[in-house]
Amino acid sequence: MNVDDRIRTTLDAQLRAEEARLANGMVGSTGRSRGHRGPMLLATAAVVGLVGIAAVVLWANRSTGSGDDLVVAVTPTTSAPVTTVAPPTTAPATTVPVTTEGPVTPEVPGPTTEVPGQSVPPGPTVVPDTSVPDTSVPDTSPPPTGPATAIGRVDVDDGLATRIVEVDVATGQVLRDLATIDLEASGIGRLQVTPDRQAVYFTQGWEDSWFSCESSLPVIQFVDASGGPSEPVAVGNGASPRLSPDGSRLAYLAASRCVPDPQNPANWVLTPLDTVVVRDLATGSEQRWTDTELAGLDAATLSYELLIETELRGLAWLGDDELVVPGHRFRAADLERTGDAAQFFGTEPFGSVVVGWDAASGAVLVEEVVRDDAGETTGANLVAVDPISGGRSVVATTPAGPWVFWGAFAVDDSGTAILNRGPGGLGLPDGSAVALGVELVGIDW
Amino acid sequence: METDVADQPLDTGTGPPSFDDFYRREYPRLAVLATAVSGDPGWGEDLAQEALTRAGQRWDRIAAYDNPGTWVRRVTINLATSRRRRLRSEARALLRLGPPDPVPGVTLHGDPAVWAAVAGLPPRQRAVITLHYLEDRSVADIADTLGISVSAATSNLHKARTRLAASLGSSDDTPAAERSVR
Repeated sequence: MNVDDRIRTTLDAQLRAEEARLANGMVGSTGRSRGHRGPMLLATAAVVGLVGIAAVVLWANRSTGSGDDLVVAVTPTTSAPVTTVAPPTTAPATTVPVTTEGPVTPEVPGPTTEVPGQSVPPGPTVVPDTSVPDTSVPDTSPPPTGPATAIGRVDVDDGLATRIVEVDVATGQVLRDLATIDLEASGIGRLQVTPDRQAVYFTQGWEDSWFSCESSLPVIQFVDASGGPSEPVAVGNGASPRLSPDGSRLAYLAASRCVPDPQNPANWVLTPLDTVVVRDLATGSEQRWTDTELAGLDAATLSYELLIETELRGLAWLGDDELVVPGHRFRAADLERTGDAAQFFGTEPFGSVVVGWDAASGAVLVEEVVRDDAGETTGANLVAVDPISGGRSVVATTPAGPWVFWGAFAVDDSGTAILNRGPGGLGLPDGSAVALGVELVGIDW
Repeated sequence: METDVADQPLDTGTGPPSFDDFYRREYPRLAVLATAVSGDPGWGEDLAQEALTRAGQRWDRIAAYDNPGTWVRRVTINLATSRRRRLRSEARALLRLGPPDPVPGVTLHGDPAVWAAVAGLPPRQRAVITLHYLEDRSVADIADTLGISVSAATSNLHKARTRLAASLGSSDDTPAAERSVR
């Protein structure tokens, strides 16, 4: 039997089994189906207006494995020892020896697998820009003067590749190609551009990320934006990379271990984000903090749900010297934990992305994707969240229109929200738009 | 193999198709589609029902579509793709309720090696493979269902088929899947 016949026969066998279960009234009769009871009850549910609880993420909307979109509330925990990673060595893909200072994070028994090595290439030297951008919460008036150029992404080859480009905002013309990235079975997260626009960072994750430890964490990529096209260079494995406002440090979330999913060990691995990393971009040195509560869980008895419950999600800078993740605040210089923080990413778990910080109010600016009942993206809100109290307010929202996924909002150098609307235009909060010659699918300023 | 069922008219009368007919016709195929994409037959049933629930909630509108089957397949694939993320949002409820019970009688049928090979594909390729081999859908139909271009669907089908042939140890790398598309 050839491959085609084997596939058809197998899928057909499954189809016959499902048809038999339906005919025998065996569908929807288990507790696993969250109360479904077959067609008649489904029709009844429609009448009484029961609403499905699941959020749908469009395939095209995935920032696959980037971690930027996976945001859930976490339980506050106590502080943990900081693990320092040695400065970078000379070659890419070199596993960095980890030295510990103070108590060692408890070793978790069970089928623990090493997370892929934190490959650290020669650290890109970024000259810190000492001028801190004013990231005031945007009002609804257009900026008096906008940035001349934007760095963003343009998907090409029917979405199988993407170009990182610099675009003239006034004319919409592509000024420079910075890199072209193959998106085969992968997706990339929001671009992070240094204030001097000499470097771009982003995550690249894989669609099959849950099948192996090697692919379970995205790779943080670096692109030299000082000249012409270049190849991305892997900085390390992690999620949610965020540059400090002065561009001197890159903070991201990482994992200390990878374990088989107890409920489905053949097909899934769990790589919970339990570590905060701050990398000094001038020296390449890194500071690490690992959540002791999460790291201390017994892998033999842990549950997927508990891991998810306690996983770190989201990261934001509060100025150049402090950063926050849900539940924890840190001093950036040494990752000393300075206090609790709100679980401020818990309201919209599938679309929230930290896009900035408002120096005037101290609020973290979060982009939240708005979806309809069928899961189609209909727009986005820019929300100011108090990182301590969790208080939140919507400061801008996308007008009606076909919004591009990811990067519906960005905050420009003057602190004004710039809306990235597709196809082919940048929209401003007042509804005006700047026509572009290309469709940007993710921008940063 | 039965073909093109999903493209057949739902109703033989003059009114819109009934949701009950739609459910009974589409459910088994959606369950297999969701099983292939999510990798779990129990979740496959659950996700198929979830997608059909959504169709039922707005059936007046969905029934008027040229092909309600395409709409519900897209929702099913979206749900299966975001399975892990859904689990995240449901984590608190699951913690309170305890782990889910196994679904009696729900298992994978056919050749285990095929299921293992399909599980090794990226989710989009799993969806493409299922739509093509289970339903004999054309590349254009698959592209429409997934909301991608025809060339992207063709590329995904070719790559998926090549990977499956390699995984299943076949020297037959002729893209028969491409030959048979309409």
